[in-house]
Amino acid sequence: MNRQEYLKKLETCLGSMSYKEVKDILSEIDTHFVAGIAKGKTEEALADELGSPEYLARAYMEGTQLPKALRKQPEIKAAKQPVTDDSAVAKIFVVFFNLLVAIPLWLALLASIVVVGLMLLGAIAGLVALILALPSFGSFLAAGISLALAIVFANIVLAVILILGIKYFALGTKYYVGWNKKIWHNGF
Amino acid sequence: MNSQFKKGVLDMCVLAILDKGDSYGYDVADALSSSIELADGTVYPILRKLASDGSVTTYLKESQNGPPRKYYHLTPIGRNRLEQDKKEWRGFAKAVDEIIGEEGHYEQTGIPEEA
Repeated sequence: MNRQEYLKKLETCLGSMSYKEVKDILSEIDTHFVAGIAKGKTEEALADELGSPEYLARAYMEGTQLPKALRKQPEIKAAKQPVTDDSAVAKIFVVFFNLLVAIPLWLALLASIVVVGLMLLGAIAGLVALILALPSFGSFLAAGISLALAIVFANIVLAVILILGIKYFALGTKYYVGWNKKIWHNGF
Repeated sequence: MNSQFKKGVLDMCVLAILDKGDSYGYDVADALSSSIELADGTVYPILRKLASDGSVTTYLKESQNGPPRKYYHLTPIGRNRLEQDKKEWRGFAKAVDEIIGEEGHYEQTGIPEEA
């Protein structure tokens, strides 16, 4: 078995571990090959000396999973401590981030949606007034009608912007609240 | 050698090797497998476990050939653990020696053979 084959096999056997852990382990074993080759050994000999990839993968998984289940009480406490510290930091971060960045930004977005909404209402009112006034336009009737059509188009554009704006604003708010909850409860 | 034997004391051996100075995976594996019959790969899961429980820390250092190497450094926690393990091991080994030593005693005096 050469270096590539060994690493490939090891990667397959480590399947149930997280991507980051597998990447870490593969890079370490690959460095073992590099160091051994620098000392004049062949890839095949190094793979042989490492032991079977299946066995190595099993040893890695025992190291991460079994001891967790078998760990003694004080060690569980010791492991939990940093988690609460971390989530305290996360909570402070959430509060400050919301106060300084998220809430002002959210209000600004809300205000711009309200402004677009008001613009739409104003344009509709203008359109109604224009249509009511059309009979008195006389020889300017054609110009009045084309102005009314232009306002209708502008209204459609504004309405589309408003609907999309409200939709993404609601979606964004929903995700943001979810993200906040996640950080609040689980830390980073 | 019985692999259950090794399992229990390998952590201590790896800690003892790192107690002599920082080292990287290949060298730790070399140091260990030169005196104990062992697959070189065995040390890597042990090093990983020791790093996750705080007995050792790691840092990267450039090497002349190839990518940077991951060096392992014994922490005060690891050193404490090593001292404790050593104490326990010495007591245990002494007790075992006494027990299996008795067997040697029988061999010396000779178990009565049937004529």
